[in-house]
Amino acid sequence: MKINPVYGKEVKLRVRSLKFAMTILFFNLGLVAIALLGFEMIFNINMNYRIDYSAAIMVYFVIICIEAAMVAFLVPVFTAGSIAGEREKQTLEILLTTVLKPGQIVMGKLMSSISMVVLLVFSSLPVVSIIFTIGGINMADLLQFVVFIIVMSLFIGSMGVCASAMVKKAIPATVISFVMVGVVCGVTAIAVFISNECANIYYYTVQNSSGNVPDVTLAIYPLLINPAFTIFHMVSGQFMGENMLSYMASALNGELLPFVQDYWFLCSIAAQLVFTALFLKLAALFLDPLRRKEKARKSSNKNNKKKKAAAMALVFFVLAVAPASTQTASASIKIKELDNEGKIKISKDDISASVRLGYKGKAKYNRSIRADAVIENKGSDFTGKFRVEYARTDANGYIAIQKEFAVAAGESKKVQFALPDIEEDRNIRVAICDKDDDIICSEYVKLNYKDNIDTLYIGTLSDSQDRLKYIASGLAADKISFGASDEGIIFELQGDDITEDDKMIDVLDVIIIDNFDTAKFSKGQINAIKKWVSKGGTLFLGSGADAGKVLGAFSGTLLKGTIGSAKSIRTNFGVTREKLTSLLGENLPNKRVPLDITQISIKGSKPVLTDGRNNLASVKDYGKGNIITAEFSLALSTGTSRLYGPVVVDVIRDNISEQRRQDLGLSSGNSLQSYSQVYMGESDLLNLNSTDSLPNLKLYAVILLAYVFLAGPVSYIILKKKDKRNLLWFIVPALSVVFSVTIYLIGTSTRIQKPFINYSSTIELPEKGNSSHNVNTAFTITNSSSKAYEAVLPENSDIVPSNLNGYYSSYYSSNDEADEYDYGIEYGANNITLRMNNLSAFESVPFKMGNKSSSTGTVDVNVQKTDDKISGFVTNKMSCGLEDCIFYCKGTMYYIGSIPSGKSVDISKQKSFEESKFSYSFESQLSAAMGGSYYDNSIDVSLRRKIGMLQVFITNNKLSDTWFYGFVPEGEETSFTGKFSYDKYGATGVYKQVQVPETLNGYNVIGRLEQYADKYDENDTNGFYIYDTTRKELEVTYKFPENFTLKRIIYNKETTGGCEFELNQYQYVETAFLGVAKVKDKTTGQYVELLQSGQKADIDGMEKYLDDDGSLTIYYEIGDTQYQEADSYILPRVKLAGTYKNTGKRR
Amino acid sequence: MVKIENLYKHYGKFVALDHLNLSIEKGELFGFVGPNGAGKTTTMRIISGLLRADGGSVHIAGVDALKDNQNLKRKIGYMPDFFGVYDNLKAIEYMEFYASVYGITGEKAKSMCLELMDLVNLSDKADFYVDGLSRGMKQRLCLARSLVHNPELLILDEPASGLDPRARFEMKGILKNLHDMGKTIIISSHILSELAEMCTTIGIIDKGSMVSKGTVEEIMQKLSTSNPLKIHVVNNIETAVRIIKENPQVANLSIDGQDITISFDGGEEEEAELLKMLVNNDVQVSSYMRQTGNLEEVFMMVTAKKEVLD
Repeated sequence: MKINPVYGKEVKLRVRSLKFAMTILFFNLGLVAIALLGFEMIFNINMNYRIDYSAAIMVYFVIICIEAAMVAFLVPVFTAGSIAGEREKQTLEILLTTVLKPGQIVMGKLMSSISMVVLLVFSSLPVVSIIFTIGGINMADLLQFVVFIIVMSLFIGSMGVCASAMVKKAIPATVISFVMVGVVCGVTAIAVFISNECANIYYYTVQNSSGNVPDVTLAIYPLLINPAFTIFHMVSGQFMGENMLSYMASALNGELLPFVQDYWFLCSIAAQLVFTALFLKLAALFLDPLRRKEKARKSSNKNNKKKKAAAMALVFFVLAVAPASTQTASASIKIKELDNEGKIKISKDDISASVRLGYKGKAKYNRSIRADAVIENKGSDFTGKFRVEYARTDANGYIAIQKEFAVAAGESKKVQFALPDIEEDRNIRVAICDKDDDIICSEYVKLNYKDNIDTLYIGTLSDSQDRLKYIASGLAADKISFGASDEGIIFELQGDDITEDDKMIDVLDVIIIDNFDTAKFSKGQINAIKKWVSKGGTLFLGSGADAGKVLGAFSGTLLKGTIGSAKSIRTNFGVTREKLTSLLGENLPNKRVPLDITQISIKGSKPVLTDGRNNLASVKDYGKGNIITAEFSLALSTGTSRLYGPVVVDVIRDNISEQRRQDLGLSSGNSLQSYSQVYMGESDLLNLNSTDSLPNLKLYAVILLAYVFLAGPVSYIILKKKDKRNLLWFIVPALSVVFSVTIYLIGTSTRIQKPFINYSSTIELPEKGNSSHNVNTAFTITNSSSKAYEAVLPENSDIVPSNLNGYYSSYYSSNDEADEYDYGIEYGANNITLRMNNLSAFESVPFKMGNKSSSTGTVDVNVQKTDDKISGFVTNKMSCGLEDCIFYCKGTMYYIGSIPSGKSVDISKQKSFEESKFSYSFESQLSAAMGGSYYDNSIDVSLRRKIGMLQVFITNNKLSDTWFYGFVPEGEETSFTGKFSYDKYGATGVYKQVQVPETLNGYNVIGRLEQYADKYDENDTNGFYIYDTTRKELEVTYKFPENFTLKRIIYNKETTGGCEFELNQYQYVETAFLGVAKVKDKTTGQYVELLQSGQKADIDGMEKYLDDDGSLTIYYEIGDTQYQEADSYILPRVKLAGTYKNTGKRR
Repeated sequence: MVKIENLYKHYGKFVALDHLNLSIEKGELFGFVGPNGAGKTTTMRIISGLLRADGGSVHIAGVDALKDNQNLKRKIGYMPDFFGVYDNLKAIEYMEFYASVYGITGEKAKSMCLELMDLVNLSDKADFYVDGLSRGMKQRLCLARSLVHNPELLILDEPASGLDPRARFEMKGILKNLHDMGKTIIISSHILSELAEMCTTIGIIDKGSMVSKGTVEEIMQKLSTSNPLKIHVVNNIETAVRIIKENPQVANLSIDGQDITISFDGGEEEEAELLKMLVNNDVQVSSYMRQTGNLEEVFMMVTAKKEVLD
């Protein structure tokens, strides 16, 4: 191989001095320090409570950026002195009289000048390779970096050499090189900003804000020769998986050539090499004596030359930078309006789709949103995808959810899926894609979030929708709501609006099914309704003469009981004339109207509407929701509905589930949620990574230090003795490669090479005899690479991206190309594919999945409480054992530990501790019982995860009285883990809300006071939460079950969960009562103090405070809180005990 | 070997070479003389390919020097008047570097370089760092360096400038050796006498054109005839002046006491005839001779004359 003699000589000279070895030593020592220190900080779990792998990637980028900066500063210094230095030393002329061509000299100088810098970078590869111990960066990324560094060195070096050939002295040459580097790196970047500004100014002044903002995307192209931008782009591609080019292009109101955008790195490398060649050619020209004009006319000639060079440079940059003044079509997004039905049409050629989002375009916060499209095909057979995209909350990216469809020629097809909840202002893009995911048509829309969460959303499903309209008007007229100003909204549903995915109806609070043949429902649809009810929905079923038509499908699944015979009656709906007058606001005759009813007897239901002779409607709790069954058809005749419609509306209003009351009433002030978020949320749990497979930093420190000294002074000294120092040019890279490979190989044991999943599954245990249970899983998929990847789920599940809290930008890319989204869900024909694009290495992608799993049994809790003594058994009737079981009952926590399958444990013999659910000591005692603490990093990560899951559960169930929670042992959990082939880390918990009958001194305990709130001022309270925190006095009447007489009330730590008693300052004022409750003594007529916040009360003989009908009216005087910012607080939670009259109606 | 025709070079308004013509035969040791600024260095730089000519032609060993730069450089070895050396490089490495430029590497290069260093009496300094050598040694090293590719023509710009007498002597010896080896050499100097001793041919350049060219003898001869004739008479100075003035070959005459200096165009016979006439007319002549040896004076005179002619 013929080596350029100039290069050969220079590299020989370079290795002569010890400086060479010392440079390698200290440069790499510095990098080793940064790398090890960085890793130590990230992996040392004494400093962090979780392992953040993506931060480790930052270490890599810090190192490579240091190296790039070093190149940017050293290369101009080395190269600028190269030729000018020869000139200064008067060695250049001799060189020029040799056969060396100027080009060869220039090349030799360039190569030799950058060789040291490139060698330094190369020598650091073992340090950089430490990233391979965790992954995130692959060999290709490293190779890309090496290519980048070499090209950058050549490019900057060529500018330095050019400057060096241009002027006589090294110092001015150095200055010129830095100026050139500054122009290339700085001016090109500034040009982008200036172009943007100019475009805006032009738009606002010359165009007078009309038309499109001028497209100045041309200003991006000069960045091709900006090495700083190249590395920025490279890093963002490797690390963040982001392509900021499309953002930049749309900020400059246009688009880049697709080729340039897709292959920016290659283009910029090519551009920089072209400029390198130009600069070298220029340098050779300056050097060639026969082309160089000489001496005498020195001054003028020199000026000309400078002018020429300046002109050339100017041409380069002007050509590249000059922003186009012409206007092209602006790519800014147009947000289309949804029509009255909440639909938008998108079409292209023969394919069109009518897309509906939400219900008539309306959606609620924190609820799933339905998206459905009817796709019409007027052309030939078409297979494609219906897609919805919207911006992520945590970064500038998008989530896409899409579903495959095939629609034959001339036909139409309905495609539906649910979207996760999103915030207001978010642009949603609906699109039709072809098979290859390329968008063929799309529109941007915004959903209507004008309706607050506290508006009641009612869906009606009926063959005679018109006759249910009175409900809507009744709601509108009455402004039925929960302290909110908005009336409810009725959505008329079609049969297929009830889908097999309960998330599609998630936004609805009430579903009314009347005069509709539910036999049409599939099993999946029934399940969806069931699931929706169990989460808090209120299902209102009408019947009438043909009760089986509606009730049939639910019989045996949701409802158990009997359907009696139909009969015609005349009824006044139990409404007195006064009531009717007050409802309708006019004096009307209280007349009975004809009504067809069917007598229905539902197990576990209680009557809610009766006219005295006939029971007209009953309600039954189901999960967190309610099912109301009416014995008549809600499709009332016009006359009947005019008179008694409001009664039906009242039934709806009065029987909204407690869950929904909370959901609706606490739109903003739900402190429990925010409390849990502040303290610990699910995302913390899902970010718990095992410390088992962390790289052994000590080992790497030894290896790296050995390398650094070997490559530096040791090999120098050895080779100096043999006078073979020239070999250093080969030995250092060779050592570098050997050590890099060594670290790579050792790192394989800890390197994360495929995606892994962190999950937290919760199984809601079924009631006895149910054949399936709901499994809710929150999981994140994390990959060590920024490359796109997919996870395929073989079976159908309700799966949505889970919403992340965080800042978000509604900024949308104008790029119409597919695969722009960051992650998405694709509902295929046979499977669900989770697709991840444009993500950072180690970026966790959160999803939520709900699915049914065939029941593996349940846990029976047969526990009673008698006079503060608990007794009974918890029986594990699951097919697997359970671990770390907790039973919480009315203020007392029982740590059970493991329950083998089929075994029972006696609750009274379990370790128990009584504490406030609002105090940390409660959780710390619990954690201690389980063997550690979530924040104790020294314990096993799976235990930490369990403790965390339990803490999240407790936080979310602070107002819940009695529950059971346990964990499925690792290896036994099949419901979730079987779905993915990836490594999985997580835990599966099971829980059950249970009822514990309680007696106290022979009294029956009937629960908590707030359950019986009946009359109150809706503007101030819903009977439990006080909205108006300025309100100082409240009056609430509580109505107890029929035949029940209240005898005794108890107010203490147990009934309240402890907040008022534990926390002196009422830190969590939203969960504490503050003030005094008074009642009127009927015997004396005096008001007496019943209880006071923070002071236990146990009052027997409550009869004297009761009204004639057995109800109790309490006058609350609200005290001052130190917590002025509280949005709401609660009325006291009081345990009620009393006796039933002996009528046999006891429940 | 070297044929320069009508070579023209100007720097702005200043004409450096004014249609210079020169030809040098193979094997000549050509001394290129002229005052500072006469165009010596310019000429040498042009024929070395370091400077562009504005007109004329230069052919060296059959190569068009103004066009075929690459081939030219294989033919010539050039040593500039001022040059530097690389630091941190040993003498032998310095040589090897230039050898490598011509594609000669390895042992072959090393032995050849040692040979060349031996030629310039530097073989014992091979392992010395170049920047530690004396100026004379550097000069010789540079000379050896210019020989690495065995050029047919050596162009040495003021090789002796700045050297002490001993170094000059040594340099002369080396150049003579090279000449004996058959190299064509061009040496420039502004000191004619320095060249006179060793050059086979001498060319005098002034104001960008050749004033005179020939063998040393020819030049000396040419210059001698124009030398003043210095006559010291003891008596009868008037007679002597009369006789001299009557002689048609006398151009100039100056009298300084008993000394008469004349410009005499005649050859040796005419000189003898003039002396005879003086003696026959009873003029006692104690000294009668052409002024010789002071080439510089003559040189000055020649150039001065040319100035008059201009």
